[in-house]
Amino acid sequence: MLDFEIAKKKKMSIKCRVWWPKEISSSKFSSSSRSLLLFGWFVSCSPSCLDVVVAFAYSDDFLALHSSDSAIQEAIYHANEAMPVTLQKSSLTVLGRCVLPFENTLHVHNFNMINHDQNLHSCNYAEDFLLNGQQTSLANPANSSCGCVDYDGLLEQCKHAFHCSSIWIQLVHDACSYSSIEIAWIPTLDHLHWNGKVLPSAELHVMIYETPRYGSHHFAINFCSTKLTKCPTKRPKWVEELYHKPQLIDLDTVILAINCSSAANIYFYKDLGLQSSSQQSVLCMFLNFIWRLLAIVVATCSTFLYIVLQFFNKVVGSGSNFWLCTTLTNIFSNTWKNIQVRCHQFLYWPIVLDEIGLRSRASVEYAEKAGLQRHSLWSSAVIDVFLGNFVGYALLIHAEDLLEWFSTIAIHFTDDVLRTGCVWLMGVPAGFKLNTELAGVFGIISLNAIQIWSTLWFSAADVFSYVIKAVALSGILLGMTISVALISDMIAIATFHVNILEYWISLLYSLQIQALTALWRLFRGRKWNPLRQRLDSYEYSVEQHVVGSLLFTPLLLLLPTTSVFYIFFAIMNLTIIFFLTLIEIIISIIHDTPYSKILIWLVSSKRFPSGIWFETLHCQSVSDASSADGSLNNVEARKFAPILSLLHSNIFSFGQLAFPHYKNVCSGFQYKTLRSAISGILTGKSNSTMPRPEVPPEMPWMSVSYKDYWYICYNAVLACLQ
Amino acid sequence: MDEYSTPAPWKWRKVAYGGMQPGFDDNHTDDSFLKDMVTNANVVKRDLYKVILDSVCITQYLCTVILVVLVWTYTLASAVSFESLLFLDITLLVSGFVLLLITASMISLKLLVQYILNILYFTIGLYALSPIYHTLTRSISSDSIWALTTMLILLHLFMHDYTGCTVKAPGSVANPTLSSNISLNTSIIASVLIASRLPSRQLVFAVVLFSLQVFLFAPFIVYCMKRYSTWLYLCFSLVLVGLTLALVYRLQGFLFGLLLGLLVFINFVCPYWLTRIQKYKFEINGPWDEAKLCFDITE
Repeated sequence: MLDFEIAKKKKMSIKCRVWWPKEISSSKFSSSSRSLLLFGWFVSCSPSCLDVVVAFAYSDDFLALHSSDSAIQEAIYHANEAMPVTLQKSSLTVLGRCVLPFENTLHVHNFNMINHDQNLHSCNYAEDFLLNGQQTSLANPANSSCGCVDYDGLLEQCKHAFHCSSIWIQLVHDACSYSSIEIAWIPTLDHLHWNGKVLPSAELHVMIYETPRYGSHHFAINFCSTKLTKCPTKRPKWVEELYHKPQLIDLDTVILAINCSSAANIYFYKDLGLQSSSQQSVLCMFLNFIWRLLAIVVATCSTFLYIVLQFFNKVVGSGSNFWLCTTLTNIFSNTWKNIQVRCHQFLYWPIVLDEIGLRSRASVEYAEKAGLQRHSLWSSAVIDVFLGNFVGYALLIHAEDLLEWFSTIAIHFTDDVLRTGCVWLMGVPAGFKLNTELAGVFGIISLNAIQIWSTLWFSAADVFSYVIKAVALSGILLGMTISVALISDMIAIATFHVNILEYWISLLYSLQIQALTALWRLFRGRKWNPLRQRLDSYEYSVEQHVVGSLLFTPLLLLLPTTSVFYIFFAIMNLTIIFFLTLIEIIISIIHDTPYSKILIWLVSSKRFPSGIWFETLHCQSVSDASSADGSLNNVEARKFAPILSLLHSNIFSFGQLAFPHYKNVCSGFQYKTLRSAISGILTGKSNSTMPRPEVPPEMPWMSVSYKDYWYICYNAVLACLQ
Repeated sequence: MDEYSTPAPWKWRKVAYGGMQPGFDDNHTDDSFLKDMVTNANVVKRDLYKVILDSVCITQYLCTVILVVLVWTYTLASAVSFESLLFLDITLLVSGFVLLLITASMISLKLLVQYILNILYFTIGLYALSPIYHTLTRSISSDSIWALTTMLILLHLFMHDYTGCTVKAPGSVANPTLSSNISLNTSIIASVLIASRLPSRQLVFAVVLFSLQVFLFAPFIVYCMKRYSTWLYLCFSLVLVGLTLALVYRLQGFLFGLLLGLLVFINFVCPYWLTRIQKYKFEINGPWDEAKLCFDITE
């Protein structure tokens, strides 16, 4: 009250925003209805502005016909209980009335009484309200039927039900039609009553929105949900308070209220018992039956798969005691990881699919977000197996050609690249004059290693056809990622000799570099202090100097030889690792792509809002209704033309939709890891710091009984239909 | 104004406070300004004879180094065989030990045994490393090696600590400084580089052993000798210089002339020059200098 007085003194008019659903404006009401009873939320965050979110409206004769005031009250209360907790603070109430057209000619003046409070103080305003009621009847003797008194009883009940008195607004129908947006009329504000005083001047802003429905569209103001979670502010609280500006609009609550309006309507309707029993057509029943059959089939198949997986798990569990199994899992690490991911997908798909209480989520935004997550597991597995079938059949058909191509590649790699390279290095490579003995030693060792390994592989050449068939079979049965992982593991095994040679040469090279740096420090009379990470001056004894000098010369002069060999093998190894990393990226992409989301986006992109914008239309008020009554208060009777806006939402583009899911792929390619990898290569440290994309984390193994699992699958598939 | 130019009633005082003293300008320079100045306080009066005697140590070391280079030259030209080199090494070692025993004041049996053990490890290590040194610089051209060696030897001569003894002798005060360490390292690297040009492994071992013996132990022996008796030291130096000149003369006449000139310059001309320009030395110290600690920190 005090705030209002201050505001009045400052000649500040109240800003009132009415969020009006389009369906009310475009639907027809029966001719006997005088006015509409509006239900919704009041949201206010400062004393000079008010947001009125209208959720739904019923004509008062319809309600009077079907229910009593107390029933309405109960229905509102139950509906409010089902709303999200943040919305329950500004509780669902009866907002007020909107007077319909034909009545307008009779009633010239309509009072709007608004008792404004923040729902914090409990009983201060009770007296004000009573006072208002009396004042209304006193102040307007000419209009005894302003209609507000009728609802006093309802208001009293509301007041008792909630802690504080509710708010009441009265709107007038204003006939300016916009055929472009299919709206026949918009509401206007006439007078504003505040604690017994009429304030005719209030800036009204009407925002028209289409009621969000599940499966159709909704509104969201978060651009990208992942960005919100990262709050980098580490400033103390008083800094934020310093920059704290008074909030003018609580947009989060308003949008949440808009998203919940449809659910509130349904709950209210159900609770009043007005729901008509829908008659199912024959087609619906038939579809239902078919769907149940499908559910049974799918449940049986997946239970069978579940039994197989449990058996497999038992075998693996018992086999993990043998070192052979553990070495195999280490060698085929990529395949093993992907098999585990696949098992996880096969086990958990019904649980993820069967999200309980989807429809009972009041906010359409939350329901949509939860719904999109449901289909991720099974769609990923199905697409994977689908692709795997392609790849598998292709491999089976072209098995011999592949074998031939593979052996040519292998021979070319071994002879033309590795062996020729080693021989070239032993001579005078690129004009470098290397130490002949040391180069000879390195060269002979590498050539021997290559010889041994290639002999082993080519003697086992006839196994390759079976290997290719095994890869194809795994692709058909288990999916593309597993066969690709198997291929990458086979490549890693085949190039094992290069890996080993590179490891030893890099060890030698790094040792040589470290020794040289230590000896160089000796010459300068300095010593490395590992505790303080700095160089200290130090006096070495003469023997240390002598030995240091004697060792420094050969190490320095043999460095070119070692580094040339190191560079050669490092390049070989890096190429192989590059190809393996590419394969891992492909697997990651196949795992991480949100297929169901993309499909839904292609079909109905409106279900992915990324922001809101307002289209402003202007409407000159037709009812320049009279100020002939004069001002009841000493406020000037100013009339404001209401501003009309349409609420639209932006849609995610394809990139914004899909890109956040590829975080795993990009996680390996950060600047820091790349920098450390490059410095590791230059100094010869082992290259286990190469960027690798991560595989999705695992969940624990399921140990549900088979019958329970069947029921879970059945219920999950059934729930899809609803 | 006239009444202010009367002579000051009090003397000018050198104080840091009190503001302007009346009757004197702000930048008044008193007669007693440089009263506390001390001239040539740390300057040592040099005697020509003494300076000549002191510069003998430079010429002696120079001749030692030249002798080593001569041995290298002869070995590279295959004029010296492995056996003779080995004989040379052993002779040097034995004579060095003898001299040490004669001249060193506090030498105990334990220290001697320690020296012998060190030398033994050293020799075995060198023998093991000599195959590596043999092929170390095969791929580098001879000119680069010789240029590098020359530069390293020059660096060694410049950085050498002529007053010290390279190896830390028992009872000596000064610690080896950074420049003496650098000179030691450069000499060792130079000898290894030269040794790697030799044709056979045994020659490598012998040459490296010889060079290292001279570079490491010769200053120490000379230091002990100098401490024992100056005359012995002077005679030894004279013999050394004579030997060097004779050998260089045998090698090449031009180099002999150059060396003679250099020796005369260092030993006679430079001391005379130093004593002659001594009189121009004008060092001033006064109360305006930084305070210096006047005690020595020894270990």
